[in-house]
Order: sequence, then structure tokens, then C-alpha cells
Amino acid sequence: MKQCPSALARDNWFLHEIDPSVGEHLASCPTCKAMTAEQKQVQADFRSSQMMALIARVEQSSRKKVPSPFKGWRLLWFAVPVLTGALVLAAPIEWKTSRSSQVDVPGKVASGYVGAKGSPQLDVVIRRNGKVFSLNDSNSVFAQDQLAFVPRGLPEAYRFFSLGTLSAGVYVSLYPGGLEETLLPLPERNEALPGSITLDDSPGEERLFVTFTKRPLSAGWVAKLSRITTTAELRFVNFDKEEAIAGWIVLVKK
Amino acid sequence: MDEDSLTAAYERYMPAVYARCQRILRDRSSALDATQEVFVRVVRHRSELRAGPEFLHWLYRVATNVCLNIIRGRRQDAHASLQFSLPSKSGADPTSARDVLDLLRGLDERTQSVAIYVHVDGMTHKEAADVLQVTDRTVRNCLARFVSRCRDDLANQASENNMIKVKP
Repeated sequence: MKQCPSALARDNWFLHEIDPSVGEHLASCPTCKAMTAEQKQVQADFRSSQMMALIARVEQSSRKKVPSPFKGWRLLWFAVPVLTGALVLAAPIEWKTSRSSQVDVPGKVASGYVGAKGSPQLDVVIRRNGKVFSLNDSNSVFAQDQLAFVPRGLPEAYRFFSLGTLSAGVYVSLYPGGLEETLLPLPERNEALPGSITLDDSPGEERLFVTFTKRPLSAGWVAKLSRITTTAELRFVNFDKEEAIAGWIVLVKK
Repeated sequence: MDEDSLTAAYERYMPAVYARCQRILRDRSSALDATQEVFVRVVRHRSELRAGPEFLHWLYRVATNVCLNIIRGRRQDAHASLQFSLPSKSGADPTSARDVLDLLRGLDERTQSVAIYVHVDGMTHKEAADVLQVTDRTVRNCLARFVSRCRDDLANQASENNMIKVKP
């Protein structure tokens, strides 16, 4: 092949190995080599940081498109203000109910995400046996599940994040890798945090501590904060002259 | 495409689709939205789809339409400015950027798609025809329309510049 192959021919070669002359050209042409390296880097970055969250979004969007069993029903125009009024009345009741049922001891609440309605929230995306889905309150987790995290609705100023787990009084920093490092910057809106964790085979609950701060504080600071935090929802806290949003995620492992 | 094939399709094709959307849209966030939309359509049509080269053609077609929709949406925003690279004959020239809003404005959807296949993806006329499931002649006609449109734009731009120059 004398002429450089198109993007389609390149993709066809890498995905289906059609036309070996494309492969030979890519191996010998410096322009194509550079372009291929760039594309592979884009794909690798996507695979490591975005793909799991995006598959979850696709699955979620697809489920929304499923026809409603009430298809064909139509709301009468006068029902709209009535329903709106009912929702406004119901909202504080729902809020009170959810607040009063919260347990301030980590380990008692199994929740797929941290945060009350309208407040900062961290979605947990799970990859299990090749399938990817968002965790909700009715899901359990299993050993070898791969977990990624998507922060949502955080105030503009809160750009840093860390996640650690408590095991018999010992903190293991998961984001970032070592206790000496500072917290990671948050990714763009609705994107997953880089990297993921794989749950081990040991039985019992998985307890993950999360915190968001305005400044890049050390993971050691996060570990101290986790010792005094007992809530299973994300809350604004003032600790050691720093403002933060912090809480526990407790996952029931089967 | 059953559940397992769908999972395999995510793994195999999604990064390639994302990279292509990013190449067209030149914006990570829009490329993610476009990729999501493409795969929502995959899920919706999965009973008719099988992995393979034909599926890749289908993905290219859908991704192009989705990206063009995003571009049209941006066009409605007066402040939108979207640029993409037109590759040279050698296949890679990231330096020569054109404003896609101006270049594709007023053209029919098929011509817009052909312009992207040939000038962004570097496809041959035959490849573009295969992906679009039209004849080579249709592709040539679309490209002729696209080139004619570019010439008109250039002529208009030149005359506008002259008018500005003669003004005191």
C-alpha cells in the first residue's frame, strides 16, 4: 500500500486485521506511526478513565428508553399543577424521613452512593464479569468487583478528592496511591476518577472513606479526618482549620 | 447481538468510536456525549447488529450523524467555534484547520457526511461509498458540491475583504 490508509482502514486493521497491506504500511510509514501512536494514546486514556462510567451512562440511558407500561396514558392538563403541588408537599416529608433514618455509625448503611438529594454525590460504578453498571441501594458487591467513582454536583471550589479504607485501625490510601501524596484533582463534570479498585476476597463489609477539599491536603490529614467522621452521607465539615466534604461508603459484600 | 456480545462490543469498539468523535469534534466532553449517544443506538438496534467490518461501517455512519448534530447544535450558538483538521494527501496534517461551521453550512446531510469521511477520515471515494451505502458517483457529486461551496465561501470572503479595504 503506497498511499496512507484512511482512519477506517486503520480501525479495520486494528479491530479485525483485514488487509495485511495496511499493517505493513503502518509499520513502515513514520507519519502513520505517529498518528497511530496518538490515537492509541487517546484510546488508552479513554479506556482507563472514562469507559466504565460511560458504559454505565449508556446502560442507564438505554433503560430510560424502555417503553413505559403506562404507554398510551396521557396526563390531563389540569393534572400537572395538582401533581406539582403534591410533590412540593411531599418533598419535606421525604427529606425528614431520610434524615431521621440515617445512622451515624459507619457500617450500618449500605448505600451505592453518598449524598442526599441536591447535595454532592459520588456514584459508584461496578464492573463485574465484563458487565458494567451503577451501584444502587439494592445491589451488593462481590469479591473481585472492580469499582470506579464518579463525583457529581460538587461545588466549583472543591477540586480534590481522596479515598481510603479502614481495616482494623489501619488506613490504606486508594486515591492517590501513597499516604505521602496530596489529593488528586477532580476530573471534568460527570467523568470517572482515574483508576479503579478491585475488591479483595476477605469477607465482611467494604468501608471506604471519601473526602473532597478545597486544597490539596495530604492523605494523612484525610486519615485523621476519617477517625472523627461517623456519618454515612457526605457532609460539609470544618476540621483542623480546613473545610471539607466527607463521609463513608459502606458496601455489603457477599 | 446478545448481552455478552454487547459487552464485548463495548470493550472492542467504544475506544475507537470515542477517538473518532474526538477527532471530528476536537473536544473531550462533546466526544464523550457523542460516544454515549452512538452506543445508546447500538443498544437500541442490537438485535439487527453483528460485530465485524459491517458493524464498524455502521458505527462510522451513526457517529458521523451524531457529531454533525452536535456541530449543528453549536452552530445555533452564536459563540460556537468548532475547528477540525483537514488531512493532507499524506494522511496527516493537523496544522491546516478550517471552520467546519462555515465549510459545511447550507449543505445537505449526505454531502456533510462525505466531506467528513474524505477530508477528516482520509477515506477513498470507494470507502466513503461503502460506508454510506451509495455509489462512487454519488460520493463524487457530493464532493463537487462541497468544493463548489468552499469556492463560493472563499470568493465571498475575498469580496468582503475588498469592501473593507476600500472603505475610508
